[in-house]
Order: sequence, then structure tokens, then C-alpha cells
Amino acid sequence: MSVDAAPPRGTSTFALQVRRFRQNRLAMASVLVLGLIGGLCFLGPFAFPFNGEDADFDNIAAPAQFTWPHLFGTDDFGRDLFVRVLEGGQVSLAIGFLGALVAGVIGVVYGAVAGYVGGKTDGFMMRLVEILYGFPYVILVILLSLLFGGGTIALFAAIVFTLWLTPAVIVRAQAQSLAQREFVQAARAGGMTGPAIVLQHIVPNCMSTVIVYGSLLVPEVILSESFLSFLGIGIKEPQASWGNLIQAGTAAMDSDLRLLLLPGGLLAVVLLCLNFIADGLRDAFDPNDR
Amino acid sequence: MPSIPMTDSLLSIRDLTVRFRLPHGEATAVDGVSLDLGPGDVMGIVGESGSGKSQILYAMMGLLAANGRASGQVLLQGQDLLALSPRDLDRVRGDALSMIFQDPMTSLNPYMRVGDQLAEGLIVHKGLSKSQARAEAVRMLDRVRIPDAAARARRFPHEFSGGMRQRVMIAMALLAKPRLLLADEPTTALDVTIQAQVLDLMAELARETGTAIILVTHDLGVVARLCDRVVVLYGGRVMEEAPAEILYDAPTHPYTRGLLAAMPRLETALTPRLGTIPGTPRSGGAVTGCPFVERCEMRMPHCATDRPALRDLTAFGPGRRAACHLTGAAP
Amino acid sequence: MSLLEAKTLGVGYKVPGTGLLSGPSLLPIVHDVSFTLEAGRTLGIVGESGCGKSTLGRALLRLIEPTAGQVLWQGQDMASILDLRRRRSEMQIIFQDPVAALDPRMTLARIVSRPLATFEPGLSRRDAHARAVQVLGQVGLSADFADRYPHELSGGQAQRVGIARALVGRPKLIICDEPVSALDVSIQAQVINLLMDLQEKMSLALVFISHNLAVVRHISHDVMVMCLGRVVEHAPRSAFYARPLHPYSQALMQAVPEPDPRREKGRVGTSLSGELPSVLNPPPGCVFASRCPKATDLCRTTRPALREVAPGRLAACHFVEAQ
Repeated sequence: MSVDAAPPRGTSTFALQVRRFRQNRLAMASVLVLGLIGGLCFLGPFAFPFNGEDADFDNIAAPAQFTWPHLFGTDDFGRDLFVRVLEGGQVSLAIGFLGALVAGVIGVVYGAVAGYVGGKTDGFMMRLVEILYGFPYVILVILLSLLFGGGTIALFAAIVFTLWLTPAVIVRAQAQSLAQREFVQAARAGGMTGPAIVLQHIVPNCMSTVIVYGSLLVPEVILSESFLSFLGIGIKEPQASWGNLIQAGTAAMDSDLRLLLLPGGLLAVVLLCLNFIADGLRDAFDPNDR
Repeated sequence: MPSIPMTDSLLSIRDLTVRFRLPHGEATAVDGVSLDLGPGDVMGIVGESGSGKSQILYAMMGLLAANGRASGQVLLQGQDLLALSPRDLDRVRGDALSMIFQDPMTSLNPYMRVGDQLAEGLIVHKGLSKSQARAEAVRMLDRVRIPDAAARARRFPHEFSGGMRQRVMIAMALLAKPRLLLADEPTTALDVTIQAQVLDLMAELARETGTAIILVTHDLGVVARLCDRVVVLYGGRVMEEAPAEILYDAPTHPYTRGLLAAMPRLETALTPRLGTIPGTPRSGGAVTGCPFVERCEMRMPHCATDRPALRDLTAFGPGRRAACHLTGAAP
Repeated sequence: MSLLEAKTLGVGYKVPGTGLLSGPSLLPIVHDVSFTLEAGRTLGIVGESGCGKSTLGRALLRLIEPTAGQVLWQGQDMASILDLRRRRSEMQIIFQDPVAALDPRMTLARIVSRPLATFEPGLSRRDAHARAVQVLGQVGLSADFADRYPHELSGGQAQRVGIARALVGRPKLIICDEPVSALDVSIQAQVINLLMDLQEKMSLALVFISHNLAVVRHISHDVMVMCLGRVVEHAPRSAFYARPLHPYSQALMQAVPEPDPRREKGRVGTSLSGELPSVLNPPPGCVFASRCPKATDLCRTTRPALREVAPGRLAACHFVEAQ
């Protein structure tokens, strides 16, 4: 009774999207650059005989001479600038990606449940989100930071707590429209429970949206951390982060630009790369572009 | 080129080909279509998805997507539409040549009052003043049986039902008294009783204004209701062309026969199963030989390699053409 | 005891009240629908937009909760079936948009086998996959299709996958909600033939919802015509098509375009005037009064009840000419 020949072996939607991303040269170059910077930050410090907190008393406030071992010189405490910047990068990048991941997961699950269930539950869940949105961001972060006892973990928690809201709202809208789609109704007709439908049908079909917006979360988290550390609320000395390094650099701007330029420059490059990648992801995953 | 009886041609399409540039090659939507239409004729172009029927209209109107290219000749009153500059084409569109589309929901500008949208064409193409154009618009709305036309003209499209919107589209298209009206599946999105109303209206108005119509549809019944002549399209090529009664009474092409057998009927005797054409409608390829060959139950070995030309079948009756190696043999 | 029975079934949607202080009200979409269906038979439900046929179809499976009346499955009130999720294997649905009915991120085999995780939890993944491939074969898709994705399919192929998914749990009833409306004519015929073959082989009961009278004629044993949520006529197929009794049914028959130019050209000018009435603002009397050529004042004020006007034939009209 066979009527048709199967279409030639095809690719999953996901594979097609990955292929589209790969064809975007700017995005791929950004991935490369970001990877290099990441590798440098995490592996680079091993190449040096000291770490970012070691003070080299013989070389205090040495300028950038591009000689080994102090490639970019030292700061007022004799600590090597380059290694401090790399170590700061570790913190900023780790918090950035991890924070975006956690905020993303929380937001996606929250939004998917609200969007699928609808009705009063959705109303309640979204009112909560709106209330949290209403809080002034910096004050909220400061309060949470103090609440969790200050320090890196507290900072991380505070940032995530404010950032999961936007993915939640976005995913909820998508989940609402997906809940009306026939394949979800078919799943209900197939006897699937609500949680199973949310996890197996709704969330995977939101992934395109999540990936696109999630990739914008990473620079947001990094900037948040930098900003807060710059204000003095986040990562504290002697631990380096790009934020507090930029703060120190800004203070010394009149006399010694390199203290600002190195961390600031790297931060700018990383943010630029992340934005190009986010653009590329959006072009690759956007269903309207089909 | 086969000789085609030259009527007092309003429209002459010669060897129209439409190709689309895709990331991995080219797709041919329309593959050498030739047609003639006289003034006041009503022609139906029937085809399934992938047949290229809508692309013929879009090519004529200059509405192809950015990656589409049309070649060949489309002579409207002697002028080749494909060779016109965008400016000259603008003068023809909305004036001598008009089109209505399938989706009445998106065919009207939601931000403009309906009466103004109607009047716009008259002001631009016929040079009427605003008040004159508005009066004409109301008269036309009344003519297409929109109740309370003067008041309705001041309303917005979302305040009209689907059937009414389609009637507004027809009013808009016929207001400028075009020589030719192109209709792309105009009733497909409408309920069946509304569809009947709209088709009747089109027939009536076209007769009144002397406008020729090309109606593109997948529905053989709709074509039977409105059209004098029918062209059957498959894989971008004309398979058969004949006057309506003759086509339905005695189709010669296996595809036409298959389509008619596959249609469930209200009046003829029921068969245990519907006749089917095996396989899926083909789309998008230039092909050697007959495009229907993979699904044709009467195929012969050379059908896959020799393209059957569209030949006159005047032996079978006036105005008949078919592209099939079988005709020539007894029906 | 019939396989499926609807008893004065009604479905309404909650709409927010107009005005600041009024509470929400119930907007009825389906009113007072009753019928029975046996194994191996098809009930065709016909109507235009807004007649409630799709809502009715979903209410029969309790995908939408009815707000009035009952649905009985094998004599038991569906509302009182406790393990409804498991029992859903017996009653399935296929949809109008075949590609949208398939999860774009799953392979076809997975789409078809997924319901088995609920219906036959003891089945291993491998066995479920094998069943899926077998059922895909039953609907005419070779084993090669198993690892394809929905976006690679044509409409007709996607609809077959939908049918396969419905079949995998060995159902007794399939609700078909406009399953061929989005398909090309030649493919429509394939899918209709497939459904009829499956019905014969498996004694499937079908509820076939469509706006296309000609398709319904081919596949149904009984026909129910709906307008604005109510049944206006209900009759066995041959009697119905030979002589539709309700003016709306007659209008529908007149309006369906047949591929017969002589008949059609003779019909020009016989179309109904007027618009489809609004679901939000249903008229007080007969649902068809605003467009009926035979309407009288009685029709506009008093709704005719659905009654037996000839043996086995129901119609809701004050002026039906009985046999």
C-alpha cells in the first residue's frame, strides 16, 4: 500500500539551524575570538610564575614594557596587571555564563508553566513577575547581596534573581501560543500529563527563543557584575574582576591609562563578540526567516 | 511553437517561465506557459500546489518575490508587461490590470477607511477629485451589495466580515473598469454559501463592465461555476486546455481525468472508493519529459524523456489543446 | 448500548462581563446536541464557520469540558471515567493542519510511538518504536520515514502520520476534524480512501467533521448539519443527499460547486443573501432565519425544535415538508 518514496535523508530542524549559524562569518569569528579570550583567561595564568595577588615589590607601578614576565606592567601594589586581568576574566566570564544559564533555566520553566497552564495560575505568576520588575534594580541587588551575606555567591544569587524575569515573560508568551497548537492538543488526546507536556513538548519548542534571548543574557550578567563591582558592591579586593579592575583603572585614569585600557578593552571585545553571536543565533533560529 | 488560434487577443502569454534562485540551486515554478485571452473571456487556471498557477499571476503583475525571475512575453493590449519599467507597470496596474487575492483579512489596509481605499485608485488612475471618487466608491459598494453603503464606506476593514471584505476587494478591483481582472483563489478562504455569493457577483460585474477574468484555483467546481474556458496546470506546464463543458465531459489528459475522478461529487453515483492519483504533486523542477510522468498510470517509456508539446486537438472539438503523447491515439 | 452517545451536549466559553460590575457570562458555542454512533459507522458533521462543529468534536473527547449534557462512552458517562488518560487510547483525533499537528522537534517514529508510553507503559522503547514503524506502514509510509522530521513532509504525508499516531493505541473511535480541507484534491482522495479502508479493517467508528458536503457524502453513514451551535438536520446519508429537508441544508447543497458547468451555470444567481450570523449575538428565533428564503415572523421569534419529521430523519424547521 506504500505510496510515496521517503524524502531524501534530511536533517532535524536543529541541525538546519546550526548550519545557518555556521554560515554567518561574523558570528563564527566572534565565537573564535571569544574562545581565545576564554582560553587565555582560564589557562593563561598558568604560564606565569606568579598569580594576580602576588606583589612584586621590586616592580611596583611598573609601566607596560611588553617584556617577560610583566607584559603589561604592574599596579600600585606590584601585582602583575595582565594576570590580574586574566583572573578577573575568569570571574566575569564564569559568572556571566553560569548566571545566564541559571537565570535562563529558572525563567524558562517558570514561563513555560505559566503560559501552558494559563488562567488564574498564570495571572498570579505573572503578577509576581511584574511586582519584581517594579523594584529598582540596583537597590534590589544591594539588598539581596547583603541578605545573602555579601561576597561572590551572594552577588551571583542577586544578579540571577533579577535576571530570570525577562526570559520568563518571553517564554510565557511563546508557551501560550504553543499551547494552542494542534500537536499539544494531540498530546493531551494521547493522555500525556501536564508536566510531561510542558517538559517534552513546550520547552523544547521554546528553545529557539530561549537560545536567542539567553545569549543576550550573558553580556547582561557580565555587565551587571562589572557595574556592581565598579560600585564596590560586588567582587571585592584582592580578588580581581573586570569590574573592580576598571574601577581602579578609572581612579588612576589621569596618570596611567593602561590600568583602565586593558580590562576595559577586553570587556568591550567580549561584549561585542557576544552581541554578534546573539545576532547570529537570532538569524539562524528565527522561524520567520524560513 | 504550435499554432494557437489568434482570437482578438486582449492578453497573449508566450512561453512564460518563472524561476526562483534558492540557496542550493534554482527552482522552476512556471515552465513555458502560453495562453490567449479575448476581451470579456473568463478563464480558469486549475492546479494543485506546486503547479505554479499563482506565480503566473504574480509574474504578470510584477509581484514576484525578490529571488524570482520571469522570462517570456506577456502582451496585454499589445504591451509586454514583463518589459515595462516599474513606473510604466504602475500605470497599468490598478487601471487596465487588476488583481484580487486569496486572504480577505490581509488584503486591505487596516488603517484606512474602506471608502478611502476604494477612492484612492480612482484619484490616482482616473484623475477624479476626492469627492467624485468617494461618490463612485459608495456607488460601487452598493453595487456589490454591501448594505448601507454610504455609512459602511466610513468604516474600517476589521468591521467587515470575510465575505464582505472580499466583495470590497472586488469593488476595488473593478472600480477602475480594468480590461483584465486576475483573481488568485479569491473564494478559498470563504464559507461555501458566501463563496457562491462572491462568485455570482464576480460573474455579474464582469459581464457588466466587459472585464476579462483569469481565475486561479484548485477547485474544479468553482471553475465550472464561473469560467468559459479551463486551463489545467501541472508542474508549471499546461497539461490541457478546453472550453469548460467539454473539459468536464470528455477530458483527454490523464491528469485531468485523474483530478475529476478524485473529486467527491454530490450528484453522481457513489463509488466504493474515490479514484486517486498515486504520489504527491510535484513542485519546483524543470524536467525533461512530461512532469506528470511519475504519477501517470498511462505512461509510456518515452514520456520521461520526450517533452510532449501542447498541441491543438481541434479534431476533438474547438479550442482544445493538450500536452500528452497519448492524444493522437483514440480517446 | 452504543459505542458513543451524546446527550443534550452543550459547550460554552466564559466571557468577561460587559460593563464594570457585571460578572462573566457563558457564551454558548454548542447547544443541545444528541446522537449515537456505533462501531464501524461514520457520522458526518457539516456546517460553516461558527457552527461549533470543531468545538463539538473536542468536547466529545473531553479535550474541552462540556458545560451541559453528557457524553457516554460504551454506556459510561465520560465524566465519571477515572482512568481517562489511559482510556484515551480508545478514542483519538486527527486535525485539519497536518503539519502543525506534529511536534516539529521529534522524529516521525517518536511522534507515533509517544502515546504508547501512556497507554502501554510496560512496552519497551524498542518495541514501541517497532509498533510505530508498523503502523506507519499501515498508512502507507515506508520504514524510511521513521527518522524523518515533520518539516520534510508534504501535507498528505503529514496527515498520514497524524492518522498513524491516532491508530497506534488501537482506538475504537477517531474524531476527524476537517482532516482533508488543507490537502490537494488528489491527496484528499488518498486520505479519504485510507480512512475508509481502516474503518473497514478495524471496525473504526468515525466522526467526520467538514464543511465539504461532497466529501462527507462519500465517507459518512449518517449526516448531521449544524448552524450556530445547533443541529438543524440529522438523517441517514442516502435520504439526506436525495432530499435535504432543512432550508439551510438545501442552501448548502446548492452552494457546493460541482465540476459540472451546465449545472453550475444554471445555479448562478441562486446564492443566499445575507451574512453568516454572529456567534456572539445569536438571533432569538431560528438560527437560519436571517438568511432563509422561506423565513416568516414565526421563524424570527420562535426557535423550532429538532423533531422527527420523517422516519429516522430529524429537522429543526417550522415548515419542513414531510415525506
